[in-house]
Amino acid sequence: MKNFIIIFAVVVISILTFTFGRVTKEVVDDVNIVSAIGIDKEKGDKIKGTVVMPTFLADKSIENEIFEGESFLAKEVINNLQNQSADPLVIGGLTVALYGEEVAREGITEYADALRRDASIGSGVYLGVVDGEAAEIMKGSLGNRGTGRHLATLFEHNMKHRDLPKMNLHLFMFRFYTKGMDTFLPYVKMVNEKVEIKGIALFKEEKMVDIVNETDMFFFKGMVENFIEGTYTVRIEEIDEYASIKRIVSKRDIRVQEVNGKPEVSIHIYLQGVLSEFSGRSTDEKIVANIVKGMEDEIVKRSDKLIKKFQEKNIDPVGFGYLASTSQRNFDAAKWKATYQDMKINVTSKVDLIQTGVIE
Amino acid sequence: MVNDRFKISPYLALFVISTNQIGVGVLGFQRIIAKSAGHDSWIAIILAALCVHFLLFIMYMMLKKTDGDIINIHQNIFGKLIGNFLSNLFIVYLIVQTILVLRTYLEVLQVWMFPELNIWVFSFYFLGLAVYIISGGFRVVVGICFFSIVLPLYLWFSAAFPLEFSSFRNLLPIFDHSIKDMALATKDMTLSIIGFEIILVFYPFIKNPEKSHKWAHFGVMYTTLVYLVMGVTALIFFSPGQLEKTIWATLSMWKIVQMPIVERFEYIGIASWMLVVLPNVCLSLWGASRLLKKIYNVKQKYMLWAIALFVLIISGLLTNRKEINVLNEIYSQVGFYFLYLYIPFLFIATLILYKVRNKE
Repeated sequence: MKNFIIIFAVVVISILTFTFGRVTKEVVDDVNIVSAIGIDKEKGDKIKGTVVMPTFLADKSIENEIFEGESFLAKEVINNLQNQSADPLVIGGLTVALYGEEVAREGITEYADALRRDASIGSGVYLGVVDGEAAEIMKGSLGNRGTGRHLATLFEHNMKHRDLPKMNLHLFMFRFYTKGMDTFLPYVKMVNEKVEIKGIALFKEEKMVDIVNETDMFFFKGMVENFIEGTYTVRIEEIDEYASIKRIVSKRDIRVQEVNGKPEVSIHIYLQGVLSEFSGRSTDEKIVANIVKGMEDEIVKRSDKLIKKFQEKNIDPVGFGYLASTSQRNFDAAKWKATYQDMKINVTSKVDLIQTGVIE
Repeated sequence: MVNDRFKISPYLALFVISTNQIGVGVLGFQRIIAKSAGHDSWIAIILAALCVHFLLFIMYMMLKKTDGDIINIHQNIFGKLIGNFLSNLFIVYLIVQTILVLRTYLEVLQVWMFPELNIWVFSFYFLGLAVYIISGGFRVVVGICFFSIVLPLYLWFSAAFPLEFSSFRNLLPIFDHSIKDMALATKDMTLSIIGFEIILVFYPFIKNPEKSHKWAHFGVMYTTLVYLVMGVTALIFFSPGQLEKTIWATLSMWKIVQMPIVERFEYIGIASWMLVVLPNVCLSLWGASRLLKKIYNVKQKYMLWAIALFVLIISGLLTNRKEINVLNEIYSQVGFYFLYLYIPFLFIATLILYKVRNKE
C-alpha cells in the first residue's frame, strides 16, 4: 500500500511538472537572431523599423536577411515582423541600433529606453545616427560577416584606435541622466555602398541639435575623454609643410573657478604623440619645435571653436557642468545653467612629441 | 543539550553568518540606499556594517551568559509562557524570511530569464531540495553554506568589467549629505544586512561557542566587503538618475560584461545566485523547524515538511510585484525594530537578570 502511494505520487508529480513546468526552448539554430535594427520616421506618429539578421549558409558564407515593418513603438516593430519570419525573431543578440536623422531630431530616448528595458539586450549595444535613412544602411549588405557584425566592428575599432569617442547604450544613458552633461552619438552615412563615420551628432536633452564634423572629431575626443589614440594632420605655416601626429596619450584637465562671483572654466589639454608622417625633408630640433607649436595652436583654436559652438547651442557634451557640480559643494545648478552660454572658457594645451619615428 | 555529533567547528560561523546575510539583496540594494544618500550611500554601507558588528557583539554576550538559544533567553527573562509566545513570533519571522528570499529570487528568474516559469513547480523542487538538505542535519546545511561562499567566488571578477565605463567623479564631493539622510540610508540597508540573527538559533550547535565569536565578526566583514564593492561599482557606473530607474543594479552591471564565449554574463550570474539563495532558504527553514521542535517537543521532520508546504503555498499565491514589495516593506520594518530595539532590550534585560541572580 505504501509503495503504491509513493509510485502514484511520483507519477502525478511528474505529469504536473511536465505539463506546467515548461519554458519555451530557444535553440540557436531555430531562431533568427536580430543583429542590427534601424529606426526611421514614417507618416504621422508611426516609425519604420528595419532589422537585419545573418543567415549562415552551407558554404560558410553569410547572407543578410532583412525585414521591414511599421509600428508606433520600437520593439513592437519586431513583434509585427514575426509574421514575416519563418523562425521566431529574438532580439538578445542585438549589437547595433541606428536611427534616421529625422527621428533623432525629434528625440530618440524613447527608443533607447525600449532597448534598456529589455533584460535580454546587453548595454554594450552601439547606437548611431544616420545622415538620411537608417533603412538604407540595413539593406546595404555590408562586409562579409553580416551587416550587424560589420557595423559593430566599424564602431569598435574607431572608438578604440581612432577619433570616435567611446559611446554605447550604457554611456548614452549615463550621459542622458547626468546633470550638467549632454549626450552624443556617432553620425554615419552611406557613401558608395560603404558606411562612413561622418562626425558626431550632438544632443540637447533627447533631441539631436548639431553635428561635429569629421575634422573636428580629433579635438572633440580630446575634450571628452582621456587616454586615446588617433591621428591628426596639421599644417605648419612657418615652414609650409604638413605633419601628421599620432596621439598616444591625451589628458584633459578641467578646472572651475569663481571669478567675481561668476564661474570661469579652464580646460587644459595635454597630448603626447609621435610624428607619423612629415612632408618636409629633415626633422631637426627647430622643426620639431615648430611642429609642436603648430599642433598646440591648432588644438587651442579648434577646441575653442567647438566650445563656442556648444555654448551657442546651449549644450554641454564635454560635461563642464558635471565637473563643476562634483568639484564644488553646494553647487547651484540653476545659476550654472543661466550663465553657461556666456561663461568664460579658456583652452590651453601642451604637446609632447616623444619620438619622430625610426628615421631622423 | 545538543549532542557533540551534531556540532560544527567554530570557524564555520563565518560562512553561516555571511551566507545568511548575502542573499537576493545584493542584486538590487544600491538603488534603495541611493534614494536618500545619493552618491554618499557607500558610507551608509559602512555605518550599517558597524551597527551589525555592535549588534552581533551584544548577541554573543547574551548567548554566552545564557548558554543556549533565543528560546532560553526568552524563557529566562519572561518566563515560560510569554517567552515561548515571543519565540513563536521569531519563528514566524524566519518563515517570512524564507518566503521572501525564495519569491524575490523567483521574480528575478522570471524577469531576466524565463518569463513563463511556473512558480509552483520551481518552488516545489527548490523547497524539496532544501528539505532534503536539512534532513541531513545541521552539519549538511553548514556544508552548503560553505559552498555558497566558496563556489561563487569567481563572481568577484565581474566587478572589474564595469570599471572601463565608470566615472569615479560620481563619488565627489564626499560627505555631501546631511546626517539625517545618512541615517535614513543606513536604515534602508537593514533588509540587505539582515540574516546574522540566525546566530540566536544555531549558537548551541557550535563546538566551544566562545571561540566562534571572532569568526562571526569576520563573516560580517566579508559581507560588508561584498556590499561595498557592489555598491561603489554601481555608484560610479550609473549616473544618479540612471541608478534610480535600475531595479537590479548588480544584474544591470553584468550586462556590460563581454567575453568571447559568453554573450550575456548575467545569465551565469543569476544561475550562480541559486547557490547563494539555497543556504538562505535552508538556514531559515532549519531555524524555524528547530525552534518549533524545541518548544513543542515534536519531531523536527514533520515540522519541516509542514513549514515547507506553507512556504510553497504562500510563495505560489504571491503573484505580482506589488504584493512582494508590500511583504518586503513589512518584513524590513519588523526586521529593523527587531534588530535595533528588541535585541538591545533583550541584552539589557539579560544583564540585569544575571546581576540580580548573582547577588542572591
